[in-house]
Amino acid sequence: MKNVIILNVVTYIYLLCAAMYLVSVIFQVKRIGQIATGITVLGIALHIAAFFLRWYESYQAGIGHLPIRGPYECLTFSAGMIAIMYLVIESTIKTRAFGAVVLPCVSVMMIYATLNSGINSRIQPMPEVLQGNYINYHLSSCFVGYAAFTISWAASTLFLLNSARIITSTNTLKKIFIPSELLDDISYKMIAIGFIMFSIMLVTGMFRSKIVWGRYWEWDPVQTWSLLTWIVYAVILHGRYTWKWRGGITATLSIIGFGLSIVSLLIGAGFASPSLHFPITGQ
Amino acid sequence: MKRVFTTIFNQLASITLTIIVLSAISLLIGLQLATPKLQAVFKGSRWITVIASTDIFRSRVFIILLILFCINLIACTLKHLRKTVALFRVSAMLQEDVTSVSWMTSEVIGGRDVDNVLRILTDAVTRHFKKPKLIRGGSGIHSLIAERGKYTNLAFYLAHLSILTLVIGVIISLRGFTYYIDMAEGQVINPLVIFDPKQHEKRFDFALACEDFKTIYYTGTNKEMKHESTLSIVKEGKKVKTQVVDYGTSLRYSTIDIFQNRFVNRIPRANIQVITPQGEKLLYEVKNGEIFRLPEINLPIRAAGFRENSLQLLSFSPPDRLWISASPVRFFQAVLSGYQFSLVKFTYTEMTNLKVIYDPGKAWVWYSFLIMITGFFNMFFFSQRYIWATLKEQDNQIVIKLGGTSTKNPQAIRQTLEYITRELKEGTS
Repeated sequence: MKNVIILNVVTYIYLLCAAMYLVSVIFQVKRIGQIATGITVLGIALHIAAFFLRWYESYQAGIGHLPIRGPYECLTFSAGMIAIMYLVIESTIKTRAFGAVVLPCVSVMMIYATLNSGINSRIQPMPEVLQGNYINYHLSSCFVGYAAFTISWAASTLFLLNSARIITSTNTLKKIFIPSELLDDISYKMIAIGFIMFSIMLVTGMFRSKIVWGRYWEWDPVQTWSLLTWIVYAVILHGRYTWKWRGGITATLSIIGFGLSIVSLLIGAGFASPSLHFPITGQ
Repeated sequence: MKRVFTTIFNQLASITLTIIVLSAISLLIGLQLATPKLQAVFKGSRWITVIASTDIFRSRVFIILLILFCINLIACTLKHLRKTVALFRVSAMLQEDVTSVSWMTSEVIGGRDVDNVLRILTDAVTRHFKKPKLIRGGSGIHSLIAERGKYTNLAFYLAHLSILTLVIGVIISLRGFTYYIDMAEGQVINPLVIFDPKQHEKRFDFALACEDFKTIYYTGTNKEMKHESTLSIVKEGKKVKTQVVDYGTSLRYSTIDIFQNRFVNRIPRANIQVITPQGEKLLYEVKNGEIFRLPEINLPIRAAGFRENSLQLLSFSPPDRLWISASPVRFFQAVLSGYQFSLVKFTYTEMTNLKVIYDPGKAWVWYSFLIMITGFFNMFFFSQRYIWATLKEQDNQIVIKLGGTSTKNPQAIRQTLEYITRELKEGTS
């Protein structure tokens, strides 16, 4: 399968980019940063190509589904989405410091997906319950949401480090300093995108639940943890509009929300307690 | 009395209540989810035993919190109604917004040609805002006001409305149910009748025909990919709708959705003979669990259990059971005692299993989804921006104050004001 080979190459590209972003920021070498951006663009282009190639190959294999099912596809898709979102942010805020935090996360996800022998990279037939368009909308919105929340989490963590003066008091870390206002803005925008995507995920999931389980809401652990995540982000957005919440409280809640979303993801992927969502792993 | 009502209403509409209710709901959800782990940690503790034996999601406290959340949403929406009405009256809106300023600048320009300065200022503002409004004051103080995106405030209502619509939809859906039908190839159910869990029947004015069913396998393997059935709705002898259904694709007609559930090989069906008190012989073909009705007395009887050469029948009023085989037998109860029942044979037919979902709240849930996404997009990605300028003639100079505010992204309003100031300086220099 050519797509797997390309995704392996993409993993090394992201790893190289992560190292270059770190070097560029710590040693203040602008040229290396520019090259890192260029290579990231190349990595993303290859990643997108691999995604469509995998989709095409799944049809050739007589299986035919959007490649966002199973841990391998979900992790690589999410990593790709994070990389794309990061690139959009970089072009907007004109600083590469954020890349020194986000790209290593992307690399770790890709390494875990591609080099872990426990994760099957083959295109696998799906049970009937995981076929159909509802599942495509449900899963794609879910992983785009996770990607946005991951970036929001990174921005919020940096914000809290800024507030605690950990970054500005250390000479090396000082170089990856990003103004708190900017981090807050990135975090808010990513939460807004992630919240909309999570809402789409919840509602399409409800429609699917009605068909498969007979009720819109089953209080399945994954549904429940996702609802909890949604509520936390809803509280952040409400607080921001009504009480003009900025900074610390938003950042703290954003980190809590991200933690809850990870719990929901782990249960959905079959790593934690039993759930009706377990077939999602496709294993 | 009015004061008490206002106080209660304000409390019910407050964002504090929203946060408290949402936090309490989150806490209860978290508690329910963590109970198994807590049980392991606090073995034998009384409070954990009480929690573990409670279904929190169906408990009174949880339902009251959900109702309170809905009341809060409605009250909050009503509270902001006045502001929304004011949206349609520009002057009312502007008065209110002048008090909140994200950015403000002040410029002093020489010369006394106020008309020229006003023209330059209006041109600069027009590049960012449609139709700025100029208010000429009699005492040498003039104002210019402009805004855009004021209707994005309605997104707040859309978001609230969507959640209420969703709740209503889900409540209406509780009246719905799922019913399973086995159909053979070529079979027509005329009219289509489905039953809710309490065995109340719902009869439709159309027939359901199953023309074809098949199993599709993954290429080159014997692994099943999916099952499909070709179904048609027949009304007054004419096919009004035909659809190939599978697990995710339905035939939607009237208030029902029919999905493929699974393909069932060789379902046994019992051929029953009933001899009426008048000696008339009637034949019925039923599968396990199916109901048939006797003519004249119209009593339902269910095929309640299959064995190798016998079948159990169940009558409902009063409840009675009867095992039948080849020899005719009777129920004990008087109303049925004149009828003799016997099993003629079992036939085995290939059947497709269909899932009929009757969901009266589906449209509400769909519309809530559309309203929710529209509302959220508007709320997060569009903002109301408002700027104002005052010109005051003072000591042969013109003092200009520029201010503005935005519901989101105050940085953008600062950039806009900086741009207008630059234009103004270049135009008057």
